[in-house]
Amino acid sequence: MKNKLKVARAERDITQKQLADAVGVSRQTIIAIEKGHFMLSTPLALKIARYFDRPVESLFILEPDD
Amino acid sequence: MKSLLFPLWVRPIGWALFALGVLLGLYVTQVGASGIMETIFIDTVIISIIVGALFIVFSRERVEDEMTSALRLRSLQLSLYIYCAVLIVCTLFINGINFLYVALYNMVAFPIIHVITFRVLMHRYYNISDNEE
Repeated sequence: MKNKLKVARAERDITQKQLADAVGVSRQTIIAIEKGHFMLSTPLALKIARYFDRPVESLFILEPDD
Repeated sequence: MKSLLFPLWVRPIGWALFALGVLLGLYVTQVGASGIMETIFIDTVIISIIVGALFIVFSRERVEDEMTSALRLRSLQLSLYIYCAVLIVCTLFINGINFLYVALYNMVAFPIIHVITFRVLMHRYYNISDNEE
């Protein structure tokens, strides 16, 4: 699964730590998600989407082999 | 869903118990004991290592989130693979009366392997960095 978290953060000028604190995870988890090393749960994806006030599909995109 | 994890403050107690169990275990195997003291020592070693390992692995992290839960599950799977592989090798190559030692060490092998794999995974997790912020 691809994600556009890094771009979304850059657009809003938000640090990984700020995002992590806002959605209740650690900064390491945000880094792992951004790098595609960790497949996040649906509730966390929804929390992140709500934080950015964007649809979840605009942040997380399924790839053909997912 | 209610968390089944211990609070963070039990982890130092876990490390203390684990160290006590390992050191006492080394003492019993190297120096030895006899009679009732042997029974007490061996019971203490087994219970200390098992309870210590549970406190270390199943205490909450500073920030407990879904990735730490995933790592906890992954370490359980990895340690089971390692434990089974070691047990198979021991079963194939150690026979006779010496296999009794395998059976004895087998009781504490899984908690020890689990502590090592979990702490290695958590160490790598805490050192994740992308040099950004």
